[in-house]
Amino acid sequence: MCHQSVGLLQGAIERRGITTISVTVRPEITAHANVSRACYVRFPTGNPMGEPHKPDQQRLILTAVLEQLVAISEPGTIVELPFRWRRM
Amino acid sequence: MPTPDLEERFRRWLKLIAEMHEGANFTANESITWAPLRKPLAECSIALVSTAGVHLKSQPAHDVLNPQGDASFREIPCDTQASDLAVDHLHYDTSDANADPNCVFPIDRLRELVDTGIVRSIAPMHFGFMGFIPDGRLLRDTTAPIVADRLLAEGTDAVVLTPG
Repeated sequence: MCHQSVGLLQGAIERRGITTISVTVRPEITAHANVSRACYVRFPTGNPMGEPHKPDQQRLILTAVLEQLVAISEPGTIVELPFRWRRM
Repeated sequence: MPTPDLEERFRRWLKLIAEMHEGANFTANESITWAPLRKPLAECSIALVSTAGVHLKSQPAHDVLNPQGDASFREIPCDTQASDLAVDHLHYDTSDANADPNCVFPIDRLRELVDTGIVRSIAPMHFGFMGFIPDGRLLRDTTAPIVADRLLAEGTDAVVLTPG
């Protein structure tokens, strides 16, 4: 349900003319939210931006998301980022 | 995307929330709005908006027990350290997010990207929601437009949104 709420906030912000991108770990919901741009990370809920106290990983993910803010040119695109969850 | 597998997962999720939460009403934007980025990232002021239940430790937590959810928001100023934040949400495991709120709300990381010049600045104000709002119309019609107006008034060029 967090993803439904992200989608509605994203739409409200984009309608003000502000460029937005969201991170999703539930692409099945985001695909129905009608948002401009999203990045899918195959991580568990609670960790969309990575693991705790792993600043290098978190920075890589945030940088990749910002790169997609520039790169995505087709409205409604969800790009899967190449990060994999390794923690057992 | 969407693929047949995603469609099936979405239908299962819709059924689940309808069974678990009285008044659940999946709400999406009527159509996709597209606001192109008008300048390079290195000239942009960036804000974070999260539905992970993030708030300053000094602020009241969201009402996680209300079956109708809680569409209120918490203002998180740009000089906030992740260690100033707490995370409350009953619908996902918040232990990692409370150990390091950057897992859901990467405010320390965003500040570092300003230092390295990847983005120009961190917006003056960021916003924390708790995304459990079963009837999305409550969020759409009340607080979402208020936060969108605030971001615009503060000169924010782009927003990164994160779930729990």
